[in-house]
This record gives sequence, C-alpha cells and structure tokens, in this order.
Amino acid sequence: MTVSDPSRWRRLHPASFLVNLVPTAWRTVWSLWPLVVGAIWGRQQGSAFDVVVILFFSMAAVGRTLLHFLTLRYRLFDGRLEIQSGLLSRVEQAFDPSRIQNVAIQQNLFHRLSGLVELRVEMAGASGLLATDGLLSALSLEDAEALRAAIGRPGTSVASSGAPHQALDAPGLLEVVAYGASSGRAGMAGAGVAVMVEVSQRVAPGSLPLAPASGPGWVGLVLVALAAGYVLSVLASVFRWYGSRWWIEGEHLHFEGGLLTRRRVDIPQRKLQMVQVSEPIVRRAMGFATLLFDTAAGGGPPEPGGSTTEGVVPMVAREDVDDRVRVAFPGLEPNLGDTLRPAAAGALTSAMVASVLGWALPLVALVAFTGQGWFLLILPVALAVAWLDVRWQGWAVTPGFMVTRRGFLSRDTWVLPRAKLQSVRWVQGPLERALGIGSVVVWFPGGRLPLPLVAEAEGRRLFASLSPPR
Amino acid sequence: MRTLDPRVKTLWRLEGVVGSFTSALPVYLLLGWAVSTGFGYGAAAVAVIAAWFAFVLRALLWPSLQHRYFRYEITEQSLVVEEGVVWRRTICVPRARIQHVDTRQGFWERLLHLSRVIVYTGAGLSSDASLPGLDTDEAIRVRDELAQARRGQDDGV
Repeated sequence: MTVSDPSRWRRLHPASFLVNLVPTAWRTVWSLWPLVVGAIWGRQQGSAFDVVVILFFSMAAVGRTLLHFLTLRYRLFDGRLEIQSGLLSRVEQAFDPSRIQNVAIQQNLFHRLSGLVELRVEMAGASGLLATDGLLSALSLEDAEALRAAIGRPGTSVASSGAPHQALDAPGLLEVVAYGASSGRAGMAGAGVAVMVEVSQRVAPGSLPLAPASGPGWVGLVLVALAAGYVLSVLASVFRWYGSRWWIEGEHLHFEGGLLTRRRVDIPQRKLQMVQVSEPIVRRAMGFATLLFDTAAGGGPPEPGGSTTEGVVPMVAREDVDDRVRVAFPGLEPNLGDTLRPAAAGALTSAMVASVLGWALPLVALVAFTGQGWFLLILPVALAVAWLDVRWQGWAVTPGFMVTRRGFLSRDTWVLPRAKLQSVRWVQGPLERALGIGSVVVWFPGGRLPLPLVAEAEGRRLFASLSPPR
Repeated sequence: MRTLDPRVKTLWRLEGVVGSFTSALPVYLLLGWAVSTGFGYGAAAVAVIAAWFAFVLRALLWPSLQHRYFRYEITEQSLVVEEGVVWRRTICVPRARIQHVDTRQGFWERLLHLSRVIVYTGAGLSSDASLPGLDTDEAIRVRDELAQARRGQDDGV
C-alpha cells in the first residue's frame, strides 16, 4: 500500500492467481472426495460421469480464482478498510478497524516461494452465514505490513524468522507428534473406516475389494484403519502445528505456526470472548492440554484443526494452564479450576436416562442390521462414560468470570468473562422438572454454552445474578 | 408479565393444519412404507390416516397450551421471555446487548394483522429471542422500544 495515497483502489499482487490456484483446486477435490472415492473404487471405476463432474468443479475453481483476482479491489478510505469483489454478484465490504476481531496473516507454500502473504480480517458474526470476513489472498509483504499498521494492528514482521518476543509456549516436534497421536479424531477416523466397510459389505457386497470375509480379517482391518487414522492425524498435526508458538505484545496476543502454510494471528486482548481448555484423555495422561482462544469472529469456538483464524496453542503443560489462561484474562482468580462446584445430584439420573434414550434406537438398529447381539454391550459402556462425565462436571461463577467443565474422555473447560455475555437462559425439560434441576445456558458472541445441571433454587438464583436487574 | 395476542392461537392452528398436509408428508411416506412392508397397503393407509389425525389434533389443541405458557416483559434493563410447554425456557436479553430487532409477517400473519418481533444480539448464531403473534401495531411499538440505541453502553463484542 502506498502510504502517500491510501485511498486509491488497489489490486491483488499479479501472482495472486497462480498462488491461489493449487490450494483452491485442492479444496475443490477435497470437497468432492466421495466422488473421487467412487471413481477409484466404485463398481464403474473412472466412469465418464464422475470424471466430467470432477473436471467441471475443478474448472469452476480455476474460474473462481481468476475472477477473484480480476475483480477484487481494496483501499483505506475514511478510516475504514474497503473491499470490492465479484462480477455478476458484486460485494462491497467496509471494515471499521475498531470492530475488527482478528487479523491473520498466512503464507502457504506458494506464498512463501513468491514472497507474498494472505491477509484475513475477521469481524463479529456467524462466518459462512453472514460472510463478514475480508480476504486479501495475495499481497506483497510491504503492502500487508502497511495495511496492518493502518488498521491499528502493527506487529512483528511477517517475514521475520527469529523470535522477537519471548514465546509463552513453543511445542517441539515431539510434542506436535504427541498432539496428533492424542487427538480423538484419529480413533474416530479408524472406526469410521470400519463402519463404512461394514455398511458397504451389507449394501453392496464385493464393492470394496480390500474388505475381508473372515472374523480375524475384520480385526486386522480395524487395526489397520486405526493405525492409518493415527498416522494421518500425526501428519496433519505436523503440517498444522510445526514451529507453533504464541506470545503477548502490548495488549495483543499473537499466534503462529505451520510447516508448509505458516499462519500468524493477532488478537487484541479486549476482543477475547472465551478460552477453552481441551484435554482429551490421552493428552491428559501425557500431562498436556490444548488452549483455544475465541473471539466473536468465526461463528463459534475455534476448532483445533479447523480453518478458523482464531488462536490455538496445541500443547501446554497442564501445570501451566492456569497461568496461560490468566495471560488472556488477567483478572481471573488463580486456580479457579480446582474449586469448581459439582453438578446437582439429579444430574446423574438425567444423564443416564439421556444416554439410554440416545443409544437405544441406534443399538437396536445395529443389532437388527448386523445380527450381532454383542453390540448391546455398548450400552453399559455408554452409561459408565455418562457417569464419569457427570462426575467430572463442574462450574464456578465469580464477579468477573464463569468457568464450566464437562467431559471425561474428552474433557473441556471453558472460561468466559461475564462482561461478554449476550443473553442467558434457564431451561428445564420434563425430567429435569421432576428431578428439581435445570440448566443455565449462556450465549456469548459467537456461541452458546450450557452450565452443568444445578438444583432449581440455585439455578434460578444464578439466572437472576447473570441477568441485569429488572 | 404480558401475554401474546389471543389471535396467535388461530395463527398456530392454521399453520399446524396446513403443516399436517405439507411438512408432515415425509412422515406419512416413511410410515406408509414401513407399515406396508410388514402388514400390507390397507394397514399402511390406516396408519397414515391415524398419523394425520394425530397431527391435526395436536395442531388444534397445542396452541392453547403454547399461548398459556408464553409470557414476556420489557423492563428498563432487559427483555425477559418465558416459553415452552414441555421444555420450559426463561430467556433474559439485556437491552444493552441488543444489536438489531426485526419484525416479520408471513401470509397467515398478514391475514390476521399479526407480526413477529425477533431480537438479535452479538451471539450471532440465530435470534436470541422471538415474540410471535403480536398485533402488528404493538409489534412495531415493541420493535422501536427495543431498538432504541443504548448509547455509551458496552455491547460486549
């Protein structure tokens, strides 16, 4: 951006088209994965229809990338960042710097080879539904730095390789690998493959050439699927989190990381809405937790592996979690997580009933579908997990903050400043009314969060204390 | 606390009866298919008619209960809504947090001169609270009252 004339409409860097082409094409192919799988392993392998559909969407991706480059303009005008794009459907966006939640700068492999960066501006709102993001997909370093400074987010140079500030956490390669291995998604991927093979064998026998016919073969296939899930999860973790670190500079939190695609996110402390401490059971046993820093952008809590630009610290030693959360929220009382109040006594009954009702129909269907009665053993396991979940639920409300925790296998603790609450609900179903319990649900910018079930009198007091006086 | 306009019961009944022909169609098809495979087409027809009758009965009776349990109050500081027959909810939206307020009218609402007031905060996922079945003039007054700028107050976003 030319500092002398910031109000002139500017275009993306000429290399934008090439830099964005491969990632866009990859995203298109990824979104068409069922067709790709069908084309490779289906009964009519590589059918002309599948190939035409895949080619059509790939060409559409190329066209979209070209259109994005040709039509996008941006400028700083009257103190706002303005972006125009689109040909048939014209979009004009104006971003007030004081309303910006996050600024993220990202470099994929092609950005890095060409010395360009992608700059993403996120506003409050449900991303995807209300499309409040501003995306400048290929800028020169100088333009990006000038733009970031102009909208009040000066920071360390995007291109700097050293650590200009003391990193609060900088997980090494082993910790990043451990993060991937301890992700619950790895096991889910393996189980998903096993279920897919089972269903395909029932619906269309022989359509998957690798599916075994014997019992031991099944066990082997599930083990292979699980192992593949873990390997993929570890690889994804290394690509996403290698070299990750975070630090605080003034009143801004900065996060960066990534092997091929380097991502840097800048979040002003005053825009933080929530910190989530995620502790899946394996990661917990390793002595680590994951921290997720949420703003009003993105339409909900950030996903550790998702595309959101909000802040994530993949691996933090559990003994440091309290200090790290208080970096985000300096006013938070120390060790609040150790003094949480338990769920009400009736919460266990409610959880058991919900577990039975939730599992009964799928299990009956599974037994009828497969003829394997042992699937019913899942029910006592689900009840045990529900018991453990309730056992570990907890909550606390202080003058400044709310803390709530739930989950045993995948335990999460959320910390919200009360000043950010948007609305509050007191909810009771018929069973809860009979048990004299209920749930307080708080809505905050970008999401909603239920507290554990509490006794009715206590819940109503809590609801009243979180509501403004009438 | 205030109650909704009684005409909302007529609105909900109309919507429910129409819905028993339209939005319930997948239920009839699924039910008919499931029953016919085991018990034949005659039984399937009986089951579908029974299901339709149940939907109509619900559409006629349920709105009275919905109306009975729906209450709202607009105070200096907040909008409070109590709703739900089986699952009961009490919602409190601080007025300082309200980002915008809509009024909406569907086809049947226009016929009955009713409107719905929908309140949004920075939570952004969906509406935080909704007041269905207000007289249109009252809905406009409520909308304007809720939408009054709360200058100098933090919206929490």
